[in-house]
Amino acid sequence: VCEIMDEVMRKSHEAREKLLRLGIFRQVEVLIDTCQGDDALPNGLDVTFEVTELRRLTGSYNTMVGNNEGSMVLGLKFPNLFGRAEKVTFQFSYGTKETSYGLSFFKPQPGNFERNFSVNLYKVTGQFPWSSLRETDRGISTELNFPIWKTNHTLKWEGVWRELGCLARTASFSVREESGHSLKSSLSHAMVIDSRNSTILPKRGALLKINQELAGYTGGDMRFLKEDFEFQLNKQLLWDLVFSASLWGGMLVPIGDKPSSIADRFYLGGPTSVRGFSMYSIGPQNEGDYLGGDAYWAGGLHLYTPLPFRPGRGGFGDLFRTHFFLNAGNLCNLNYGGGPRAHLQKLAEYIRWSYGAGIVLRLGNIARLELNYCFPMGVQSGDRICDGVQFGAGIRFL
Amino acid sequence: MPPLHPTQVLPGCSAVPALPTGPAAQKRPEALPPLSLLPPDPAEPDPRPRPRPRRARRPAAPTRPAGERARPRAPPRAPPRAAGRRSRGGAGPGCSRPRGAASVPARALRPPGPARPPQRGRAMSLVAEAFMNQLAAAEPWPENAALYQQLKEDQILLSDNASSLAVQAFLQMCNLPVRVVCRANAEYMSPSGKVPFIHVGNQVVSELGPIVQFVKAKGHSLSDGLDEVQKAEMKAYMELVNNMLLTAELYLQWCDDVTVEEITHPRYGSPYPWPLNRILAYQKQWEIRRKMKAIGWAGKSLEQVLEDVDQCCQALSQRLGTQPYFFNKQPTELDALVFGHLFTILTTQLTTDELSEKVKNYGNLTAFCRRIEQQYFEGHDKDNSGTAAPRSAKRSLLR
Repeated sequence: VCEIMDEVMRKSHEAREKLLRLGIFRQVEVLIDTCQGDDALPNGLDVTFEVTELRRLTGSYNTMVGNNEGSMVLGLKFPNLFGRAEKVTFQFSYGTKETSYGLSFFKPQPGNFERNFSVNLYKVTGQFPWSSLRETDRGISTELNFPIWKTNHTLKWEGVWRELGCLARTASFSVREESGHSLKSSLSHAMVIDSRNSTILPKRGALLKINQELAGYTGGDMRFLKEDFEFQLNKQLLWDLVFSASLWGGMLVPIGDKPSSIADRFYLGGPTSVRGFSMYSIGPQNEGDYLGGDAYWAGGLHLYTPLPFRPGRGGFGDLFRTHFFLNAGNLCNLNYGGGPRAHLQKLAEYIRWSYGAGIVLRLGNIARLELNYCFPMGVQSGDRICDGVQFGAGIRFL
Repeated sequence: MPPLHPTQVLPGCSAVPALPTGPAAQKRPEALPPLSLLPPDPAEPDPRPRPRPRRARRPAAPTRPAGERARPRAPPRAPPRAAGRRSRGGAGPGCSRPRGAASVPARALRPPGPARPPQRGRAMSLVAEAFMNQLAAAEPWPENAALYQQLKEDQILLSDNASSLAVQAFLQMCNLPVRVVCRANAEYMSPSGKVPFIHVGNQVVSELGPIVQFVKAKGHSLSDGLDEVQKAEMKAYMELVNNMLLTAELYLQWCDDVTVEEITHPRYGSPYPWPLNRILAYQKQWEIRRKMKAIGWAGKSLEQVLEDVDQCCQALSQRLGTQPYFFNKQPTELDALVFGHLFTILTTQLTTDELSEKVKNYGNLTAFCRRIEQQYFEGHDKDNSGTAAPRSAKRSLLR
């Protein structure tokens, strides 16, 4: 009887988790009781789920103040539009410099939340001072997610009207040449295998993400094939030490004779990738504006330890870790007429690397803050470095 | 018939200070056009017209997180992220969207990156920019100067072609070599949003007025031989051409429905795929029509516009008389500008011939165009693939 009871409790807990994950209930309570009533089975159990639904329409209003920009963000959400956990979200951000908005519709397959489908409509603007570039994207994308065995796949079609412009009058001519409008229509596929126990500061497990994008065969005037992958391995050593290794890489191959666009290329450097260098400030550049590259790789080795002397143990102190890191990476263009062997050779020479130590703060299960002291090495002329203390915040770190 | 003065043709041009008397002054009691109509100084190029008002873009003081090395360009701090958002759009490696939730693409609502911090003279005040221009002016004209315009065969429109030809004529008259490069996105590359623009050394200058000033700073000038009175007159006539001929060309291209549908929309959107070609063409049309409304041309009919063109040509014809150039012996920028517009009007096939007929009525203007074409462009036909080649044959802008 005890085993059956355990089994029931475990399964009802799983069911509760699944219901909560739908995102339509404010809370779910489970009551397990012996069967009662006229049609009660002998030794039967009644499992009752008491749920409180979220409101039909919720709204949010935030103001954000960043560096030299303030913005107001308005959000509206229908958490359960047609009764089967369809979600419609509208977000609008009005800032002193730029305005963005997005409308999104999400529908999971009933009974199988892992399989879902979403349609997004958006207008996004971004300013990239490292390239003196301003980008405005207006687009629509449809996405299908489904699991296959242990992997998670995403198929997506995206159509984007992209407008590039110079951020300042002193932008370099290479960036000026990229200004204008273009239309990208691309199909992409991503595969994720994630066996880590946590997204931020995992203690064990591995992550493999492979992403490919083919643009141009469904319309538009951008034609390329883009591949990139991300790999991470974590292992816990003795005494709460965690060793982590990660490797990123990617390649962009333009199809046809049009060269790749600055908005599609890869960028390297900064507190979230190769530490010790300024944000996206490695690689080909023209008059101080970084143009990105067609191929890159980056790797990191980390050792995470708890804070020395473990202050605040069991509470706030557990959010902090110290880490020692070694990062390396390289970025280059592929348009100089060599073959694959020459590409590999080019990626292997002039490697930028850095080492250092710092403190990591974990924010919920989504983001992390880092404060590091870095020693950049292998610096090439044209790179911009940030040796000494560097601060970083983000959700995806090398 | 008394000669028409620009101020009589231009509506609303009034309250100008009197000229000093002199042999040329007897013809015109009124005088200088208002200072605001003068070509702008290259240190302050025209801001690109924007659909909504923008605050002045002054890069802010650099933010320096403690310990970052004091390099000239202080890197911006990585902006703090809202939950689930990412720092950089698709160009960065990979993309992670919060799974499951109906999410706007992650880069939608990140707090936008910080404004560009100043470094190495990037946050230039106007004074500093003028100083840099002066320094650049000291350099000689390089061999690889380039003039950018839209694609010649398929894309360029009447008004842009006229402006581009005017600049090419001016540079030919100054004997400065320039090669013409055709790019589909020339209009967006230009710092002011108008074609043509020239790329000389490190400088990018757009539109005839600033280019004239720029070339003058380098020591070449066509109007040095003119006295003050003549210079004022030249500026007035240039304003006449800009306000009358150019506006009439824009009106015909964008506000006359037949021309819009048959010529302008197909040409303007030709380098872009569907649906972008339609969107951009409609966007530009909306912008031009708004401008026309602002200057009061929206209510005009085609006949009225052609009448204005006729008056303008009459004024030019009377000023030209029997002289070879507007200021007798030597060509000036006015000659280049008039040539650019008139030649383009004469050699462009539109839906009707009315516009070119108006110009053909004045024999001395057509002779003037032919003279300049023979003198400055014919000799260079063989070694160009890029000059606008204003050859004799009627070039058709019809698709």
